[in-house]
Amino acid sequence: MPNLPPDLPLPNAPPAIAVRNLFKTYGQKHAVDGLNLVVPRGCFYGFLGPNGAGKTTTIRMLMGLIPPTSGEIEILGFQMSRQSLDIRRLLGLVPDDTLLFDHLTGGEFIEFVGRLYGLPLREAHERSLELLALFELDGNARKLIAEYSKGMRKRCAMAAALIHRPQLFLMDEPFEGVDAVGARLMKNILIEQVRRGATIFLTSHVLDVVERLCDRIAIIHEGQLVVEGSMDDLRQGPDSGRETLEELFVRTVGGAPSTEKLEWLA
Amino acid sequence: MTAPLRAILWAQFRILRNFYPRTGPIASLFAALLTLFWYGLWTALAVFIAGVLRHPEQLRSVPSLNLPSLFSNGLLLIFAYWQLVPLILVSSGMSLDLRRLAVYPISDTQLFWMEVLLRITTSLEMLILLAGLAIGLAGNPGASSWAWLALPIYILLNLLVGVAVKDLLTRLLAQRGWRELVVILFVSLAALPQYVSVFGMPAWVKSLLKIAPPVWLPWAATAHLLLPSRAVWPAILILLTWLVAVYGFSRWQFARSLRFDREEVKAAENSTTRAGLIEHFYCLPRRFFPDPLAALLEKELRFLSRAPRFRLVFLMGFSFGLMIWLPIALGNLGPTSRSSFLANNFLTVVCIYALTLLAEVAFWNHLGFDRAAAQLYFLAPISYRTVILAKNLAGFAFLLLELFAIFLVMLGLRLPLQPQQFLEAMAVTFVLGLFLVSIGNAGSTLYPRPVDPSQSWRSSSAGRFHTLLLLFYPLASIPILVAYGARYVLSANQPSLAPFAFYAVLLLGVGVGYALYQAVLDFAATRAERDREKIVAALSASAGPVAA
Repeated sequence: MPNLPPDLPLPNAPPAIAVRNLFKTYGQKHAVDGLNLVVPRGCFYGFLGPNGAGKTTTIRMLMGLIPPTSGEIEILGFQMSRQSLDIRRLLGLVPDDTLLFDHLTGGEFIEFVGRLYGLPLREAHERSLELLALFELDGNARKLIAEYSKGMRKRCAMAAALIHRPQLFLMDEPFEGVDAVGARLMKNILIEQVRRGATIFLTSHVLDVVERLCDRIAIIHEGQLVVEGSMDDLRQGPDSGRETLEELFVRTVGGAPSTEKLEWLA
Repeated sequence: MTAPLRAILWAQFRILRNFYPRTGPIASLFAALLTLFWYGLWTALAVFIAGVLRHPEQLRSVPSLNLPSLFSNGLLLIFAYWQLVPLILVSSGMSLDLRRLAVYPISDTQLFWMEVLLRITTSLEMLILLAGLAIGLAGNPGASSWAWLALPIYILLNLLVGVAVKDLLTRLLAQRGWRELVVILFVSLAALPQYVSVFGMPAWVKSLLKIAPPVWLPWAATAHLLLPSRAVWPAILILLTWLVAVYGFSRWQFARSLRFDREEVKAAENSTTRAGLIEHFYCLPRRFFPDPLAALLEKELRFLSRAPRFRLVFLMGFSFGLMIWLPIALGNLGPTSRSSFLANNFLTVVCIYALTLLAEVAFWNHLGFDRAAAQLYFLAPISYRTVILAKNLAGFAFLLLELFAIFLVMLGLRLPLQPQQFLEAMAVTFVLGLFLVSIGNAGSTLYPRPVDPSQSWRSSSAGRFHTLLLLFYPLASIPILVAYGARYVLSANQPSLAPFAFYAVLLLGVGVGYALYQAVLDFAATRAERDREKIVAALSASAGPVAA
C-alpha cells in the first residue's frame, strides 16, 4: 500500500456530503426541489447555477443555518438532523460576509473562531498570527474587519475557516471581490487542502476558476440538479473537447439572449 | 464555564473595547454618570428594603399589614417589570446573535444558558431589588436561615420566562398578521392592571381571588418560602414544578428561534402582498413635490411602511399609547392636579408618546435604519440636504397618520374629544416634532449606527446618542412647557387671553424650531458630505456575537 497522507479518506469511508431528496420550500416556491447529491471525499466540488437557482439555500442547509423542508443531509457520515454538533466540528466555512464580526480585528476574529472550535487559547492565538501572515493580512493587524475591503474580508473568512484544519470546506463565493494575487493564494491553499484529504464544496460565478480547480461539477437550476459529473463527462457534441465550462453552463441553464433591444439605449 | 462561552465573552469584550474608545470621553462620562444615577436609585431602594427586613419590628408596627400578600404582590410586580418593561421600551436587551453563532460547534444547550444569562441585562434593576430582599432576610432573626434560597430559583424562573418571551415574540413579530395580533394582546395585558384600578375588578375575578392566597402561582409560592410558613414543602414543589415547566417551554422556544428562517416568512408575505389603496398613498408625493425630492420621499414611505420595526412602533403609537395612558387619565387618583392635568391633556400626552416611539425609527439614526441605500445617496447626483428633507417629510407624514389613527381610535371608543383638544394635540406634537427632527438629523449624521429594520426589538440609535437624547428631550420640550406655563398663569387672571398666549408661544416655538431645523439641516448636509467615508464605514459594520 502506498504512503498516503494521514488525512486521506479510507476507500470505504462515507461520502463528504450525501443529500437525498432535499426540499426547501418558501411559500409556493421550491427554492430547492428534490436535490440528490453525493460529493466524494477528497474532491474539489463546484456547485454552480444561475442567480436564484438555490445554491445559497443549499449551502445554508449544509451549514445547518436553516432546516430543510424535507429530505436528508449526511455530512462525513453524520446525519444533520441528529448529529449537527459533530458535523459543525468538522466543517470549515466561508459563508457570505454577514457572519463576520466587524468590530473585531482580523486576528481577533480568527482567534475567536479557533477558540469556538475548541483550540487551546495559546494555539488559537499562534495559529491566528500565522494565518494572518499567510493571507497577507498581518500588515493590517490593528485594522477592524469593518474597515477591510471585500477581498480582505473573504481572505479573513478563509483564514478563519482553516484554523481548526477541517475535513470539509463549505464556501459560498470564496473568490468574490478577491484580487488576482489573493485568488491565486487562496487557490493554492485550497489545492493543498484537497491534497491532504480535505473536501472542498464551493459555489462560484467565476467559471474559469471552477473549471481549472474542480474535479466534479454540479449545475443546479430552479432548485433542481440539472447535470453532475466531471468536466469530461459533461462535455457533449463534436467539439466537446473544446467546450468551456461557460459554454456548458449557458447550454445547460438555457440563457437565450434577448433579441429585442431598447430603442432609447441604442 | 466552557471554552466556547469564554470565547464568546472574550470576543464581546474585544468588540466593546474596540468600539467605545471611538465614542469620545465626554459622552462616555455622561453615559456612565447617568447609568450610575439610575442604578444608584434602585440600589438605594434595595438598601431600604434590606434595612426594613432586617428589623421586623418596623413592619409589625403597621397594624393592617398583610405580609404574605405584600411579599406575593411585590414579587408579582418584580415579575411584571422584568417581563413587561422590555416590551414597553420595545427592547430586547442584550441577546446572542444566533444567526452568526449557529454555524459553530457550540451545543444548543450552551447557547441557551448563555442567552439565559444575557436576560439579566433586560432587568438588572429587579436583580438589585431581590438582592436587597435576600440580604434583609438573611439578617432577619425571625426568618428561616435558608429562606433567601427561594430567590435564586425565582430569579432563574424570571430569566427563563424572559428567554421564552423574547424568542416567541421575535418569531411572531417577524410575521405579518401575528405581529399585529401580538401587539394587541400585549397592549391589553399591559393595560389590564390600570383598567382594573379604574373600573374595578370584575365580580368573577374577585371571587377567584378570594380563594387566595393562590399559592400555585410562582410569586405566591416564593413568598410562602420567604416568610415563616407551615406550607413550605408544597410551596417548594410548586415553585420547582413551575421552574421545570418554564424551562421546557423556553428550551422549546429557543430551539425554534435557533433554526428560524426569516426567508420563509418573507416569502409567505411576498406571496400575499397586494397593491391597492396604499399604492395611491405612496404616489402622493409626486403630486406635490418635484423629483428627486418626490422620488426620495416615495421611497421612504414604501421602505418605512414595509419595515417590521417601523410597523410595530406605528401600531403601538395609537394602540399601546392610548391604552396605557387612558386609565391613568381617567383613574381614581383623586382630585390631584396631576390626575386632572393628565385627564385634560390626555390626547396631547398620547400623541407625544406616539411621537417618541415613532422618532426612534423615523428621526434618530435614519441612515442606519436604511443603510443599504446610504451609499446610493452619496453616489447619486442629488444633494444630501434633499435626502434628509425627504426623510424628515416622510417622518412627519407618518406622524400625521399616527395622530389621525389616534383620533379615529378615540372616536371609535366614544371617548370625549373636542375640536380644541384635537388642535392643541396637533400643535404641541408638531412643535416638539420640529425640535426632535433637528436633533435627529444631527444625531443621524454624527452617530450613524447600522440597524436591521426587520428586527422589531433592536434599538435603532447609537448608545451614546441614546444617552444624549435624555438631555435633549427636556431642551426640546422647553417651548411646550413655556406655552403651558403661560396658559396656566393667564388662566387665573385673564382666562380669555390664555389660549391666545398658549398658541402665540407655540408659534414662537415654531419660528425658533424652524430656524434651528434649517441650521441643523445645513450642518448635517455639510458634515455628511465631509464624513461620507466614515458614515459608509460605520453603516457597513455589523454587530458582535452579542447584540444590544
